[in-house]
Formats: sequence, C-alpha cells, structure tokens
Amino acid sequence: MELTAETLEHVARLARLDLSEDERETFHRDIVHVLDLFDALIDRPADAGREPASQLREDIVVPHEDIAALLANVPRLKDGRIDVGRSL
Amino acid sequence: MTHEHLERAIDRLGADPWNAFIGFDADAARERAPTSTDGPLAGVVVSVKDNLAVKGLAMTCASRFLADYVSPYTATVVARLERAGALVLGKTNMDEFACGSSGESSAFGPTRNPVDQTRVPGGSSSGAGASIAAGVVDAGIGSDTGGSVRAPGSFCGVAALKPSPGALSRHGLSDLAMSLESPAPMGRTVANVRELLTAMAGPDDHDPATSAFAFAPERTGPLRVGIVPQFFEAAEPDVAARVDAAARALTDAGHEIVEHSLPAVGDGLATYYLLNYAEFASAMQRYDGTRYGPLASTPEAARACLGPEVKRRILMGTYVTSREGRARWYTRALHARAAIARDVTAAFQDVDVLVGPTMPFRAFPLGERVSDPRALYAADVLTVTANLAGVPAGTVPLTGPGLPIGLQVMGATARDFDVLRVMADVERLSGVAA
Repeated sequence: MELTAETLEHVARLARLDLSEDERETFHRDIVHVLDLFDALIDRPADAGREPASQLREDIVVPHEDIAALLANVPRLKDGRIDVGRSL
Repeated sequence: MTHEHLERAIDRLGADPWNAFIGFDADAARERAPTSTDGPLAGVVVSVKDNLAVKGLAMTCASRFLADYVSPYTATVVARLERAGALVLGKTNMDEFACGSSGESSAFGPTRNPVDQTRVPGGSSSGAGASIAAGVVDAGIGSDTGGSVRAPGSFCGVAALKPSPGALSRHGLSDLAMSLESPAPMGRTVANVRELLTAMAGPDDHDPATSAFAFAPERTGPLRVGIVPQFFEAAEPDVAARVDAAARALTDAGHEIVEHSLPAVGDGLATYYLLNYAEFASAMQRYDGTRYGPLASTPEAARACLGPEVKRRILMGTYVTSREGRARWYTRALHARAAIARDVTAAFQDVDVLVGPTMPFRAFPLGERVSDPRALYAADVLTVTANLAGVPAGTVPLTGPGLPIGLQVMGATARDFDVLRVMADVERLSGVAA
C-alpha cells in the first residue's frame, strides 16, 4: 500500500496540521523514504496478529496546589475559565 | 561555599558559546540557590534539560510553541536533587520536543560540541552534554527515549545512564513517548552519575511506575560481560576496534568476557521509530493552543510554529496508527518490540551485562545530516534496544586520540548499579579518567 498525496492530506487533517505546498512535497517524500527503509528493516510479518494489550490504570483526580500558576499559561481566559472557542 | 561553586559555573558559562542553555538567567539561579550547605550533593552544580519542570522557570522543550510557558510545579527528580543540596544553574538546550539525535532541531538554534564547535554534540539532551563537557557544571539531568543522554555522552565525552523504567519519576517530564522514556543523569564521571541516580530515585505518588520498582542489590564478585557482535558490526571500524579493546580490558578487573549474539537487534531501529512516532503523535494532541501555547484562532494555526522534524513525526505517528497504516506498521512494531525484549531478557540469563559501542560513529559536522531523516535516525541504531527492552544502559567515554568515543553497558532490569559498576571499571581501565 503506497502512501499517496491524498492519504497524506487526510493524515494532516487528522493531525491538525496545515501544511504548505512545500511541506506537503517534502514530508511526502521523507515519509515514503523512511517507511520504505523500515519495511526492509523490520523482520516481522505484516499480519503479525492481534496487538499486545496495554495495561491501563484507573485515573485518579488530585487537586493541584497552585491553580493560578496553571491558568497563567492559558492563552485565552474568560472569567477564570479556559476559552476553547467553537468546536462545531 | 555552595555559592562560590555557582559563581564559578556562571563565569565558566560566560556568553555560552555552545548555545547549551535556553533563556539563561544568572540572577534566577542565584535566587534558587539554597542557603543551607547540607546534603550529599551540597555544592554540586547541575543543569536541567528544558523538558523538565522547575517551578517559576520557563520550560520551552526547545519549541516556539512553549516559548512563553512557565512551569507551575517542579519535577520530582529536580526537587530531589535540590533537596540533596544540588544547585540548579539553568535549563539546557535540546532537540525540539526531544525529536532528534544531534542537538540541531531546537527552535533556539543548534547546540555546539565543546570538544569541536563545528560538530554536533548529540541529542536530544544536547545542552546537558555540552554543559558538562564544557566544564560549566559537574552533572546534569537529561532524558532518554532512544539514546538521548547516551548520544551526547558519547559525542561530548561525558558519562550518562538511562535508568530502568520506574527507577526515576517522570512527574514533571514532558511526556513524548511514555513507554520508552525516563529522566536520566549525566556527569563528568561515573561517580557523578551514581550520585545523581541515588539522589533522584525512589517511589513517587505522582508516577505509579515508581511504586513497584526497586533496584537489585549491586553484585560484588566477577561479572560475565557479553560482547554483542551485532553492535560492533553496525559501528565504524575504528570505533568498534577501540570499544572492543576497552571491553576486553575488563578482564583486568576480574570480569569474564564472552560473546553473546543478539539477533533481534536488527529490528530495533524501525521498531523504535514506529513506536516513537505513534506515542509522540498521541502525546502532541494536547498541544492545541487551549491550555498553553501561542494565541491562535485554531489548533492548526497554533501548531504552525512547530519545527519540521516535530511535524514529520506527528504525521508519521498519525499515519502508522491510522486505519490505513495500523496493521502494517504499528502492530508489527509492537510484536517486534516484544521479540526484542524476549531476546534481551534471555541474554541476561547467560551474561550479567552486555557491552558494545554507544554510537556507530564519532560526532559529525553540524548540518551534515539535518536534511536527511534516515541518516539522522541511523545514529540511534545501538541505543534504542535498551529502551525497547526496558533495561538500563549507560555510556562511558574512552581515552584516546580524536573525537570522543563512548562504550555502552546494558544490564538486566533493576540492575542499574551493576551497569554503573562496569562503567566505573571501564572508566578506571580505559576511560578519560584512567
């Protein structure tokens, strides 16, 4: 399966990256070169079966000692809350 | 007394001709200096890689994206060093978000190798290595995901250790490929590295991986040292010859030398990068400009300032985990990693440590590989195995003509102090301190 320019465009959208025309060309060439190399190097079949399962722990909520210092890094604050803009 | 050491370090840094530090502020360093001179590290001046949080100081990860970010807390490993009496001089330059092996991808400009300023210092902990090699600090904290303290250690002539997973808390380390990385000590001597590891290690409620970890006791008798032919075959002949001679000299310390083949090493580079890309792309999703980062109208606009290697890795990681690429790339890499870990674990049934060259070549000229990612990635061929297998690995500089060469020692998980012991033997018999 070849990485096409259209696939790269789709991947860039998923990755939330706006690429210039130059970047699209350079990254497409680089990625194809690197993956070609990796294909030759990695001595495992492509159908190596089910993925090994990850082990997940439970999330634990812990209050932060200094909320003001955390919020000081937020680019857009509105009434002490993070303004994330419209998503829809 | 401790302040004299700090002032001496500030003098040695001068105008920082190596570009080893980011946003260096002598007054901030003086303010942080403790008034007490107690503790096992009293008077030891250290540098901290700029992907580790120090409360009140900027943490840029060498990226324009975080140019204005100020850490709201201090990383556990840094807090423990300060509690032991160490003085933090400042934050060191690195490859942007640790994406690099040469120290050239920082948004704040490349770091220069103090041994030869026309050459790379190795990365991604480039400033950490340079700050020690230049004699500015005694020791430093870097981080190691696939060789990021061992590469600068080898290229700059500095000792460094990537510890076992769980030995050091990752709380306050900007996580980029969390199954592979750890904070990692570097120092002028192996003794410096040992002191830092001892001061930083221990359980931390903020990092569950540390709670189940304990170092195995250091062995005192002769050790079985395995020479891995695959590591030597991948290195340039003169590097391989020097490392081979230093490894065989370990018989003078009473150790037994045997050959031990590690065939799965050949899968290491591709496996490492595929997993690094996947985890990195996932970790970078948080950099969307809402909680920190540049003021921008969309995540895409905020992420426009990321450097080319960071963008390339995000794209690769998104692709190899996508519906189109997952089976062919990511799943294969997970299986290859499991095979590599099995090979390495089995090796430590036969030998106590494995040795070989740390890097396949000496420090190369600045700019030589920067436009060819395949050539840059090839530099990591000998270091990634330890990260994939989850074992400790250190580098110790060898004495001799020309640019520095490092010898790598790998041990079984939790056997970090056996690794340090063999590194100290190499240092005594064949190292720059010999």
